[in-house]
Amino acid sequence: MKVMSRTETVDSTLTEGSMPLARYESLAIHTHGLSKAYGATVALRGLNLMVPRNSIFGFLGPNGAGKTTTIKLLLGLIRPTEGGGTVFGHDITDDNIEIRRRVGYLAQVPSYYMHMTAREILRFKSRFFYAGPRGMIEERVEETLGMVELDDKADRPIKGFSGGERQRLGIAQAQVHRPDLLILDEPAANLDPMGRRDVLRIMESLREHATIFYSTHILDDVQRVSDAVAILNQGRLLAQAPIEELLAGSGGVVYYITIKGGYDEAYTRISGQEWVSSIGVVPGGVRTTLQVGVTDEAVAEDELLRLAVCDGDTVVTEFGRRRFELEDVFVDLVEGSNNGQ
Amino acid sequence: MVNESGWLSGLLNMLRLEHSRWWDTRLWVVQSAIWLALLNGLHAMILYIETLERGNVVVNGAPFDSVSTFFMLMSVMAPIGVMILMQGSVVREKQSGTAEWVLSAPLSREAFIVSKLVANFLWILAVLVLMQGVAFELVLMAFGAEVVPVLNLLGGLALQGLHLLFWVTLSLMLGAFFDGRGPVVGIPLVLLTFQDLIGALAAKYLPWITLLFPKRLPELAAQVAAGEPVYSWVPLIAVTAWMILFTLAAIWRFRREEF
Repeated sequence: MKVMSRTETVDSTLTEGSMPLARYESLAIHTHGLSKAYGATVALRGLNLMVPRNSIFGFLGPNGAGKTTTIKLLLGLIRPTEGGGTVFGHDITDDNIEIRRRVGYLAQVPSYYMHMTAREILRFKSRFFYAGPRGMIEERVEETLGMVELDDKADRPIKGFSGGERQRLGIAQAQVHRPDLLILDEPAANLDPMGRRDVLRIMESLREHATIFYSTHILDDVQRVSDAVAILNQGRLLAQAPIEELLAGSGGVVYYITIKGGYDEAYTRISGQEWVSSIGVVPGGVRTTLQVGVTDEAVAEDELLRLAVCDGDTVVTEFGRRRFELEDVFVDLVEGSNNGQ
Repeated sequence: MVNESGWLSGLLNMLRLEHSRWWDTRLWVVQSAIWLALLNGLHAMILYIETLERGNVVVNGAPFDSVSTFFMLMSVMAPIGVMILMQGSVVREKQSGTAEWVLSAPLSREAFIVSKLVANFLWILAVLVLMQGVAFELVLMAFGAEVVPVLNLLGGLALQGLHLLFWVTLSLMLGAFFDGRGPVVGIPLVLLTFQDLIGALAAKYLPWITLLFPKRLPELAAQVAAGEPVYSWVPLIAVTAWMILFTLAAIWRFRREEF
């Protein structure tokens, strides 16, 4: 999958003609120029999204980026104004009942029939997919309740459920029929750390059997569980890539050296090297951190630390290769996009 | 696996759900009690007063016409019950997000509307019409009056049922078109209350137009129940046409709804 430049948008980079048929078949979701407008307000602009099968795919973006709109378009809950897409090869506009047979969905604010218990909710949902036998449906419901640890509350009206319990019920109803694709809209939003941990654990346990496409703005969670991500802002796709590629960044390899005391000499020695492409200084009181961009990783690994300490006076307290956090990438992309880059 | 496809997708499950709203929540018990009190309770009270004044009661003739009274009460009160029962049927689901939830499963939008129409109508027919019809005969028996022949009564109740189906389809259509409960209750209530006035005004220009109004059907129902000759079948045809139109309009609109 293509890694985008940190400030490049990808709206027109993934053209259908450039992709072989086998690649399409390996996709759970594929959209092309998918757009949605509400009057003069454009919620989604020409989205070209490719979600590989059996991946955990994080769909990121600030509030109002168009994440929920995309999800609703995929499920046929709203209609595109332009463009289209497929889920497992089924057209999202004309064939969305077939899509919904293979998809489990958790809404951002899940709503259920309040007169039902958790068990009744799961039973009701199962019957959209299974005609029987009744015993097997009950078995599946029981198993699902156990997976989300709601077996002891299964026969209580859901009116009294806490936020975390409702969210677990939401995941349970989304996957009670063992869908090929789980679409989760902000599954961990509004949950306390324990609730979030539970939800992520459940998601990881489902990855063997299904593709999981989930939207979120909790970047730590994405970094922990996702295989690939797409970043959306103001209805535009800014990047999509496997998470490792995105975290590696496209600005070259960067090392950090934290020096106690004076750093001028070390700075001069390092900046004079051919293989150093940039050098930044992050002051921090007694300690100063140099961020050194390099063009040759192997040479840097051998030489950099030695160059810093070779005068015998410079004290290095920390040294390592800087790993971009998803937050860095996200903020960089979104701010770049907001500034019109 | 479920075999339903096309517009039938999810219909059976939604029918089961709509039925459970009546059965599991004991709604049918509450509604039965309310309508027995309102229709047959009132009817029994009138009969009691008549009995006190005249000593006996006779059906289909002097001194008191129980059939007309009962069918008149039903034609005025039961539609209001239908409006109350149906006002939230679609709107509540749109507002609460449950429509979005069920439509994320393999459920067709046609099946969503049809399930509400069929399940609610069957329960309304059972509770507001058939049960009341049986109670009506029991009340007559209790007062020593002659009962209405079963076939006549069933014919009359069937037409009353169709009359209520008119209000069911109208409420469903309005629920599909509007997002608030106000118009869903208000428009049918205005029509029910002012159809005589509207009819009288319109009849100056189009004398036949009142035959197209729903209120004509209960009049027909009373005639059938009383074993009298029916003055015209046009109201039956007109109301049937309205119901088909309302149902198709509800489906048309709901298919375009965005969640």
